[in-house]
Formats: sequence, structure tokens, C-alpha cells
Amino acid sequence: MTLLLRLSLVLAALLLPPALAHAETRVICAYDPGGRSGDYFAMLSKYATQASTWGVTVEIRPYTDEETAAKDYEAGHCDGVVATGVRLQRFNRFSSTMEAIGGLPDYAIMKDMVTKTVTSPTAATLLTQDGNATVGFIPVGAVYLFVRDRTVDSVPELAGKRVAAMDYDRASRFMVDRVGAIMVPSDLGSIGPKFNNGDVDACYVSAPAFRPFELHRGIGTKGGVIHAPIAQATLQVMIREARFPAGFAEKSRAELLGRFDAALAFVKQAEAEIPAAAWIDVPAATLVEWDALFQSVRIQLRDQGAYDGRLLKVMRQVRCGKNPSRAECAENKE
Amino acid sequence: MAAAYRATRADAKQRTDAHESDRRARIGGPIFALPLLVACAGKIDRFTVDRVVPAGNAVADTGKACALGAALVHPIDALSKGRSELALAVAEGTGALCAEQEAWEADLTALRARTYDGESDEARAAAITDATLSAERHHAIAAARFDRAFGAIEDEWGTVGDGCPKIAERDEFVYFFGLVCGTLALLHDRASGGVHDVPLDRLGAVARGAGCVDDARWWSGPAALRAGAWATVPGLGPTGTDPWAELETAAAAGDPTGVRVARAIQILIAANAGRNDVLEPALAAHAASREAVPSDPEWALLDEYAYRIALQESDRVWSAATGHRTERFGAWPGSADAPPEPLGPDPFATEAPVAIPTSPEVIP
Repeated sequence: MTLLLRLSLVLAALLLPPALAHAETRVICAYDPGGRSGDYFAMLSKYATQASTWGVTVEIRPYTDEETAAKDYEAGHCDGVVATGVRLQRFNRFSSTMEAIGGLPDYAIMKDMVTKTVTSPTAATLLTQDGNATVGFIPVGAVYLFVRDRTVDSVPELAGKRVAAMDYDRASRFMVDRVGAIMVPSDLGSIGPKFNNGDVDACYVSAPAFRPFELHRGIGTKGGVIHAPIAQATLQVMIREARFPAGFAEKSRAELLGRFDAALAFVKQAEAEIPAAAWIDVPAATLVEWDALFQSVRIQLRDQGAYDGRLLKVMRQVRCGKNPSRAECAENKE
Repeated sequence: MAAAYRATRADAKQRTDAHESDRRARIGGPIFALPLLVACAGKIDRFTVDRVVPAGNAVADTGKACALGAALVHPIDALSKGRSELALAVAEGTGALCAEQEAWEADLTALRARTYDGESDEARAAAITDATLSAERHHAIAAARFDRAFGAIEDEWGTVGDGCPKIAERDEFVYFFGLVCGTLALLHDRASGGVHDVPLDRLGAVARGAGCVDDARWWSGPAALRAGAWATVPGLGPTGTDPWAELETAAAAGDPTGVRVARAIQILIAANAGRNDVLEPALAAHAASREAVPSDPEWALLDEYAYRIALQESDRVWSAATGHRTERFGAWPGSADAPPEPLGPDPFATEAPVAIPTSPEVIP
């Protein structure tokens, strides 16, 4: 009888459904300039709740310093990281190419591109490099050029101007050189004061930075925001794939794609907070000029190994699919 | 049945009498009260700032303060023709504490739900989502109330951050209180999902506004507000300043006063930024200070609120790690698991070994 009872207990323990066993915790170190109060952290917390039904408990840990988050991931303190594509370039060049200069001129094209990337079985293999898998893209806004003098709105006029550029962003350094401007190395902590104090003539950030950095002070009455996106900034969710159950990456990509529009709503709200008078509309002819410059920069950066040509190629297909009359569609350079 | 009907009629009569009285008051009231009402806004402000604030601050009961504040907003607004901005700032700011407490509870419920065993993953996710949504709703209410308190000081003294207004010494506390409310409005609004769209440049404005009030008089709270803003928005502070060091300096200066507002601000900002390396020693310092320095009896409510903020952040850490609230304020979860250190040499080492029976059967 005792033996039977023991056997029953052992069997019962073995037959317990896996869901009843407490799942192991995986920590994702997430950069949000607003920390725990940030919009993206809130979104990621909801994502974590959903992701915790996929076999592990996901905990999101807030970071207000992006490089620290990336370094903690690198050092193995976190199982995943959320940071901008340019910051994660050292782990995965394919996914960071999503932020290529001039690659995604509007949000509709961007959503198409992200959708194609996260649903493609071939791209799935490219999104994982050396065990680091990119498992989602979150839009954080088009990057615009903020200028202290609104007459500086075309490529030639940028020559000789001082532009604050992130020193870790190779593409930006290259771009600043190409237009003949003078790069002033900056980081998130110094870009606002440099622009507002007049230490630089221009800086480039996305709209969510406008209010917290008080960039209206630098714009004043003479400056403005050039209404032509230079690139699309993204937060990318990256995990150490071996630390997560099989199938996690696919589910995560689908989950975050489903939250794309909600993230975009934050961006559009931030863009709406920039006063209408501050926007500088660019004539169509000048936009063509910018496009040509962006294309040549992308090609050169691809040839130097900074961008992944496979992603650039699909980007061009998406752009030309939406607007076949673009000059680049007649030739096949990317 | 008839008795019930009579009772109903009697109630109706009473209501009719009351209505008639109200009607007379409505007709005659304004005639007699107009001169009084015109001068009333200032009197309400003075009564609130000079009498209610000191009386309330002497009682370490945030629940009572929030109930009073929430209840008084409408009467204050209705009693005078002009707006009693100072009184409204105090009432709205303290009234926000009720919603804040409920938001905090829901936040903890969500954190604890993450650690539940014995639930399916889906049931756990539903519990977390429900608590999160509940928290967002309460954060939104708290944000709105704190923001109205901030709005009241701007209505009284002009846009915060655009230079320093002339503030009477006796009103300086309300200005400082309004700045704290402005910061909390932003944090709660973000936690609500941005329901009220509290602007993100609020922190910069608060940092500049904090320079308009006396640091020493307000327990280094203004310095902590400034440094907290600098720590949260990159580039906001002066070049070469370490905002985290400034925060610690302000908190350490505030601790001995018995009104640990600066320490609470440091804890809030560190937790928001995920800086556990700052949070852990700050919580320990707060606990040590409470042991060593009693609350200033004149400002016991503020010191209690500072403690509540710190305790909430501690509870968040404990709930995420252990599934329950703080066991001992100032301790970090897991730190109690370390084996105790022996007190001096082993006192039993010199004793001769004692033969211990190996089985109960050998005991006679």
C-alpha cells in the first residue's frame, strides 16, 4: 500500500503539466530615455507579460543610459537588450541596416519593410548573428535635421556648418563629411545644450527628443526643423537566443509587429508637439537632391561593410513598389 | 405600507423645506455675501497656508491628508469669485495622494502576479494585465490632480522656469510643494500611458524653478529636484556636473533635518532609471536616518510621505524578487540570507565531547 502510494506521488509529480512549474526568469535590459516612466518601457512591460506565456518569465529592467544597457548585455548581465539599431550594430549589422540613411522615407514604407523582414523565413536566419537574435523593431521616429538658421535647408548650404553628430554613429560621421559640414562629436547628453547654446548650427534627432531637450530654445524665431526624414530610428529587441525557448524569436517578432502602430502613435504625438511654424517644407526638387545624396552614401557605406546589402536591396524594392516614379527605380544600384 | 408612505412624505417635506431654504439663500445670499466673496480668495489662501498647512503637516497621516485634500477642492473652488490658487495647489496636491496610493497597490499586485506559482502562464498574464490596467487608471487620476496643483502655482506666479517670481516668504512652501507636484504629475502621467500628455520639458522647468526657493529652508528638497531633473534628462544640468553625486549630496544634507524629502526624491529618480546601485544604499541610508533622527514634529506629514515613497520603491524591489512586500525597511531582498558572523571565538570549542545516544531505544 505504502509502495503504491509512493509510486502514485512520483507519477503525479512527473505528470504535472509544465505550465504549473514556475518558469525561469530572463532579464531584458531596456533602454528608454524616460526610464521606468518611459512610453517604450511601458510598452515593453506589456510585451513582457505576453512573452512570459512562451515558456520563460521575461523581466524588463529599465536603463536610461543606452551604452550601459548594451555593455551589460555584452557582459552577460542580461539575457536580452533593447537599444537603438545603431548602438546594436556591433552585434547584428543586418538588423541595424533598418536605420540606413534615407532608406525609409515615410512611416508606411517603414511598416512594410519591418513586416517583410520579420515575417520572412530567410530574413529570420539573417536576424540572428553569433547567437544574438533581433526579435523585434519598435519605431521611435524619423530623424530630422534641426537648424538654427532656417535658410540652411539644402545640401550645398550645409557646407561649412557645424553639425552635432553621435560619435559612435559611423554613418552620420560619413554623411557629415560628404556634405562638407564640420562634425562636432556629441552624445545624447550634450546634443541639446550644444544646439541650444549655439555651439553647433544643426543637430539631428527624432521628434520625441524635442520637448525634453527643449530644442525650441535653439530653434528660436530663425531656426526650424527640415521636414525630410534623414533616417528612421528604431529600438531593437535583441536576445541571446540560446537562453530562450525554441520559437520565442518568431512569437516575439509577431508580437512587436502588432505593437508597431501603438509605438508610432507616441512618435506622431511628439511630432505634433513641434509648432507648425517650426517645420521647414522642402521643395520637391531639393528632396530629389537629398535622395540622390542618401543613395550614394548608402552604397558607399554598404561597400565599406557598415550596411548589409541584402536589407538595402529589399528596402529599394519597397520604396519603388510604393512609388515607381522615383529616380532610383530606373536603375538597380542597391 | 402606510407608515412607509408617511415616512416618505415626511422626507419629502424635509426636502421641500430644505429646497425653500436653498431658494431663499440663492436669492438673498448673493446680496449679502457679495462683498465677502470678492475678498474671499485671498482669505481662503491665507487660511489654508497659515492654518491648515501647519496643522496638517504636524500629523503623520497621509491617508487623512489625501481625504481632506480631495474633499476640499470643489468647496474651495466654489467659495470665492476669484480662484484661491494657493489653497487649490495644496488641496489638489494632497488629494492626489489617494489615487497615488491605489496606483501603487495595483503596481505591486502586478509585480507579485509575475512570481505566482500554480497558475497557468495565460492566467498569470491575465492577472498581470488586469493589475497593470488598474494601475494605469489610478496613475492617470493622480497625474491629473498633481498637474492641477502645478497649474495652480503657475496661475499664481507665472510660468515655472521663466525666471523667478516674487514669492512671499510665508508662501514659499506652496511654490516648492507645487514643483514637487509638477514632477510627480509627469511621472504618473507616463505611468498612465500619457493620458494627460504632461509635457516632457516639465523637468527642465522644475529644475529652473527649484532655483527660486531656499535649499536650506526646504531640507535640500529643491537641490534634489534640480539634480533629479538633470539625472533624468541628459544634458539638462551644467557641464561637468555629476547629477547622481548632486542627488546624494542633497539627500545626505536633508537626512539630519528629520524631513527626508530629498532622500525620497533621490530614491524615486534612481528607481525610475533602474539604478539599483544608487537605490540600494539610498534605501539603507533612509532607514538609518529614521532610526537616528526623529521626524521634525512640525513637518511630520512630509517626512511620512517621504517614507511612503521610499517604502513603495522598496516594496517594488521586494515584490519582484520575493513575491511579497518589504520585510525590513532598508534591507535589500536576499541580503538577510547571508550566514551570520560568529561573535568571537567558538565558546564550545573547549568543551569535552558529549556522548549522544544514537537511537531512542537505548534511553532507559
